[in-house]
Amino acid sequence: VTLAHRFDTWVHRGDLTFLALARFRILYGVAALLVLPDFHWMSNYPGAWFNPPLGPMMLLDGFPPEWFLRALELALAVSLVAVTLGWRTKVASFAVTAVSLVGYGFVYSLGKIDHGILFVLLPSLMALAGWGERLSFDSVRRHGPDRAPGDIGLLAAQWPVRLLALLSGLAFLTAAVPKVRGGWLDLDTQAVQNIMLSEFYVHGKEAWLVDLFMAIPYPIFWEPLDYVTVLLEAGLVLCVLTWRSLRIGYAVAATFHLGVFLMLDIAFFHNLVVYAAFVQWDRVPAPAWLMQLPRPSTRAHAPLVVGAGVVVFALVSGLGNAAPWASPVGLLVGGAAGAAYLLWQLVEVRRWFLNRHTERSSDEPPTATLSLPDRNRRPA
Amino acid sequence: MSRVLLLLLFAAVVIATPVQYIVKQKVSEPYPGLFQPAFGGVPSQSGILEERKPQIDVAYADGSSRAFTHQELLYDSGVQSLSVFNSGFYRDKAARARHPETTAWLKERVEELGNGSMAREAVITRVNTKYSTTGAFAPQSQVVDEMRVVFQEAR
Repeated sequence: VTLAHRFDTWVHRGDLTFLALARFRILYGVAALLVLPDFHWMSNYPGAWFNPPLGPMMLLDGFPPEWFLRALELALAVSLVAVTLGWRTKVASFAVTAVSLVGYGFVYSLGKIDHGILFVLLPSLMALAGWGERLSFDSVRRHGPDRAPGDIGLLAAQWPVRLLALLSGLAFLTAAVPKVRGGWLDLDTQAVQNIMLSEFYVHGKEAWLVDLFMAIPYPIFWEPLDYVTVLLEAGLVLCVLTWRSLRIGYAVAATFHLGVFLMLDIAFFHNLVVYAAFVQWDRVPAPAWLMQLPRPSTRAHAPLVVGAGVVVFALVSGLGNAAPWASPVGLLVGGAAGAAYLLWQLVEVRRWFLNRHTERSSDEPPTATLSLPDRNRRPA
Repeated sequence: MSRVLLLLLFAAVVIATPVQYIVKQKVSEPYPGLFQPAFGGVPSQSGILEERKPQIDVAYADGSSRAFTHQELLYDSGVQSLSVFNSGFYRDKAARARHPETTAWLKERVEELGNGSMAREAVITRVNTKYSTTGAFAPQSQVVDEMRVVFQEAR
């Protein structure tokens, strides 16, 4: 078996169905609309402050006028509504990535780069995987509203999701390296504890559980957290090798983000949405009526999508986005789901050990070596 | 997509990641780039934390004066206001701070915050504050530098 063949098998093997990705697409769309960014605020600043990061933004001379930035916001809102409803999904998904890259490029030209790149790249990769093939206006247009029941188990293209996982793992590796170089693994430094103290004293952040953790002065408690953080960030790239390890790795990461939020009041909401791409959403029970959506009878999809996008844009422009409550709720739900998944894996492993023990203690020769469900097999 | 193209794509991603990391170390962080927040250093190893924040004292033509924090001065945005302020006023040897556009913007902004009163001058000071995480001493503040912007001259 050649290396190329092994790569081929690895990159295409997976269990994500079109239905799973379609459900995730709706989740992503709703989440992204809830935290819809605004770009126009930077037009308030003097042009002399334009300080583009290394890259294509350096080709520009300064901030664009306010109308252009508002047009970007509107384009993003309309594209996200189109993604959510599955209208011209592929084009809309690429548009979300492109508009976000440009909009955030201007934001980061004020001297601070945030790291939401995975959330921005995700729609394009998922479009290539086929997240618009089900539960979408596109699928209704192509195939009609009725679909044979067996069709829902059809597998999507797996390589874009693999690529997303690889990108995510590598991105985390870039965070692990500075930590190692910065002394996180030195037994005399308790980095997590000191960041918490810094967030509290210097930045005035009062995380929900900060009082609880402030009362723990013992290095024996804090030092392992430094190691766990570095190991997690460095190890996620290895988790990409199998779907099981990937899901376990990102379940740990989801729980980790909840811990970071509760301890440091730092909310990585966008990352949690990215991790949700690896979930088999088709296995999550859903009401029958949701499986049937959308069942549009109108042909006027374009005005509906554009109109809904304009409404969302107007709401966010007038009232601000829903990030102040959506972010903590998302972190709590995602962290709890990650912890539940890890618990379930422990139960499965325990069951496997018990089965194995039973088989060995019987006189009969063992017939099965592993009863864990194979996540890489196409579901029935 | 063909096997070769996929192989090339995945290989390119794996190779590009350390390259962009080196670029960040040697030059500056590229955008777009594949990074997650680093939190590289350890803020304190001696029980002492330090912060450096600006304070903006404005004198108005009617004789009144007001002090603003950088958060009050800057518009509400999605990014860390201290980073934006530092980039605008202190990076590149404060070249941006002395730019006429910055002076005009600052005047307009402090007049807006001062309910339309005409601003005469603004003094931007950076204050370094030390905190003891063990409660050994009360917070200690010290002025690090001071920048005076006289608006009449800018007009």
